Amino acid sequence: MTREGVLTILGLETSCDETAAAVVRRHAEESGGFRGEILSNAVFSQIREHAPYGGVVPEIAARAHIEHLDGLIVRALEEAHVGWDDLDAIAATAGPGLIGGVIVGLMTAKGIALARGLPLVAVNHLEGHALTARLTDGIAFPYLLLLVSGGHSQLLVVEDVGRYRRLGTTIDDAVGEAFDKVAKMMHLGFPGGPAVERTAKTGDASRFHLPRPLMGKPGCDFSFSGLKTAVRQLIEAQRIEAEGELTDQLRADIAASFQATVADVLADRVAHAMEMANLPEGSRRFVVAGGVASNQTLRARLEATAAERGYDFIVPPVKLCTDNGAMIAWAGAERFAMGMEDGLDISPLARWPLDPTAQAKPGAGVKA
Amino acid sequence: MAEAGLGFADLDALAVTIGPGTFTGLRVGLAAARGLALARSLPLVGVTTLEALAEPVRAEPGEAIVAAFDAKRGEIYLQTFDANHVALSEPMLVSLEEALTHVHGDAFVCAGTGAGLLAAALAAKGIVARLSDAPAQPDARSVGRLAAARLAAEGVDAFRIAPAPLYLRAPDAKLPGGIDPFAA
Repeated sequence: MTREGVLTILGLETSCDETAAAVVRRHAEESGGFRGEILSNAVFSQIREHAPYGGVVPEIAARAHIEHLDGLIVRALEEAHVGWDDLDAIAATAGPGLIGGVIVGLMTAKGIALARGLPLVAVNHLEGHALTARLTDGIAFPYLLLLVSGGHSQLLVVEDVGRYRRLGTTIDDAVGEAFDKVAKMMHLGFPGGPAVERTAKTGDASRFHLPRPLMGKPGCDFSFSGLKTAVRQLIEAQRIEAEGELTDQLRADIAASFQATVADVLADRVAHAMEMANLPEGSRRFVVAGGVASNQTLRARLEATAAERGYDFIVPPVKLCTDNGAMIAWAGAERFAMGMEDGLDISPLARWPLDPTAQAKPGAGVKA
Repeated sequence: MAEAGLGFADLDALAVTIGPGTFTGLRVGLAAARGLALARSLPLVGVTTLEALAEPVRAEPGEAIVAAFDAKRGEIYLQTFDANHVALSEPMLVSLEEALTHVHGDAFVCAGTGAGLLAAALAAKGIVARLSDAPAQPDARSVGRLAAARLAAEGVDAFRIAPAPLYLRAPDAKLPGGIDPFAA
């Protein structure tokens, strides 16, 4: 069963440190195409709650989600000028992510679905990121996707709604995690991604040569753990040499060198993935999604890689790359349009790979 | 709802336990209840698990009711009530030794998963405490009855703002350097 016409969906996102609710519309067009429209996108970022710890604390995140979520839902509906009866379904992240937060969002959604007789769509958070480019740019399947965030680093072919072919993934740390840890080592602040990018602006990226794990190797898996260790050792060596804290210039040079290294690794892995994906001409689209996609240096480098290989380059706007409710509402709309919905007995999942046939990477745990 | 033969339009209010208890468990119920209340514009009454635990307990004249949940790590969630279920203390998280300093009176009836622990500790001090035969976990009927009484006394408009969870225990998180941010 497919659903035609206009679908209006409320989406809830609570899997990490952003509490979010949004209303999105999916218009099915007579040509057989579709169009996405964001009516509202309310996000409460918990950055301030977690900043003192230099990372996201799961219990603090869960507490903040339950405190803020219903207020955000009210705001999302008001800003969209939409009432309960205007909704066709409610979508919520059901995993993967920090389970305490996922439970808050999914249970709230179940309550609403039950109370209003609305269909519930349980959304994989990663599918939210993966399908955002269709909401913003209306692109067709298939396409190559680089999903890079604090919790994930994966290269996938997006074949259809609910159908993914994983080409590569991290075997240890996620790229965003490496940024967070490097920021922490140099006390640059949290979240680490924007902090490292800001610090790197005045730095010399060629000053320090850092290892580029797996670069040039077959396949398109990632590894960032060795790079993280190399940066730690570099910082320690520089501190000994400086007989104390690093100067601002040293910090900037380390941040810039680290960022350039990550850019090299990503570009190499993406180039391999383009060969592996073997997409037909006319389908050579390369999408970058996830919070790390907001880094301008990485973005420029990946854009160049795409151009060299004849791929269209698509990156959704920054506020739709970081966690948000619109992407969950949209993924819910896409699933619902295809006739998919879930029962109220659905359980949240801490681990939920997009491609269930792909081999697990024990070193990466839930990140792979 | 099906057993009661009622629909959402027949309800005047909702009630939910807000804690104390396992953090995740109390959020499961509270998130669902907040969603239901939001979607039907219904008032939502928050009841503590300790009140709900004490509600079915029948005390003898002169007995105080002690509701106690085993909070693990050698601590219990505790609240005391008189024989008419009027609260004598706030809900609290205390060690077993501290608990004894909060239990005043001559005769007690203890309920909850921490009742056995507490009764044994009281007995060791020569204080006799009886174990209630009420269920060791809160019952939804108790939650409903307590909420109905509160709604009758205070009116529905007193419950328009959704209740917050009652954790009583801080998140298990340490600042860089091992500093406990929640230490008093």
